[in-house]
Amino acid sequence: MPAKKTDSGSEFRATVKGDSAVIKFHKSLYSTDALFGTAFVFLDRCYVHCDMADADHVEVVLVPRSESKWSLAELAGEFKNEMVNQALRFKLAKQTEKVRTMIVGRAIGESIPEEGNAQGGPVANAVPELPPEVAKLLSEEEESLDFLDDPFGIAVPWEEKYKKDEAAKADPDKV
Amino acid sequence: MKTRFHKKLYPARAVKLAVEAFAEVATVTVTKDGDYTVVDLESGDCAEDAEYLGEFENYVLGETISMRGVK
Repeated sequence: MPAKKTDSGSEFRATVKGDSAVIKFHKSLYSTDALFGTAFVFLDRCYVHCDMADADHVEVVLVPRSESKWSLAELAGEFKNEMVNQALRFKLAKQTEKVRTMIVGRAIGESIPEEGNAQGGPVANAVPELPPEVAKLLSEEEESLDFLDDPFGIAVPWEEKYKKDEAAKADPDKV
Repeated sequence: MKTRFHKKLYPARAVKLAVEAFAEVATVTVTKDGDYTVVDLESGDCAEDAEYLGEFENYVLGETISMRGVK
């Protein structure tokens, strides 16, 4: 079955009248937020006027600016695409609203220092919660560690470590 | 030239702000007609009236969006 070229029977149609493009849609299809979000995108390309065609339909009239390079058909097509884009944007924003609120709330909550830490005390809860097996490994490691142990000689100052060698190089007869 | 703003889409305050902004460049008359706020705009130059009216409509739309807030 061939695809229809005209959308005159649909609830979302665009027509070109004189020097303007008229887009008409049923108000149950797109929210007013989606309409105004779309209209805002087009303010620099054309003059946008919204009206109630009847109780159930909204009509948008687009008149291109004098210096506009966009044709009426292009404007109407782009407007319809942007309506879909905005509608999806608002739908996703609504769906993820709780998650976004939780993330921001948690980030703000964790950034507030506790009373004990304000005076330079130990940082409580600075380490995020770890899986039990990782926590067990870390605790075993901590038990076996002594701060005085230095198996790799990291704590030995560089001057002390290389002093003799350099002195021998500078004056080989003395050694 | 006349244009009409439906009260379900455009708040009266948005139209009022636009009228104040355009008062210096054009003669703007506002009347009520049922659910519509009717604006008659005369710039003194018939050739430019359509452009002024278009800019006026965009201004009202911008104010309306601004009042609704970013979502």
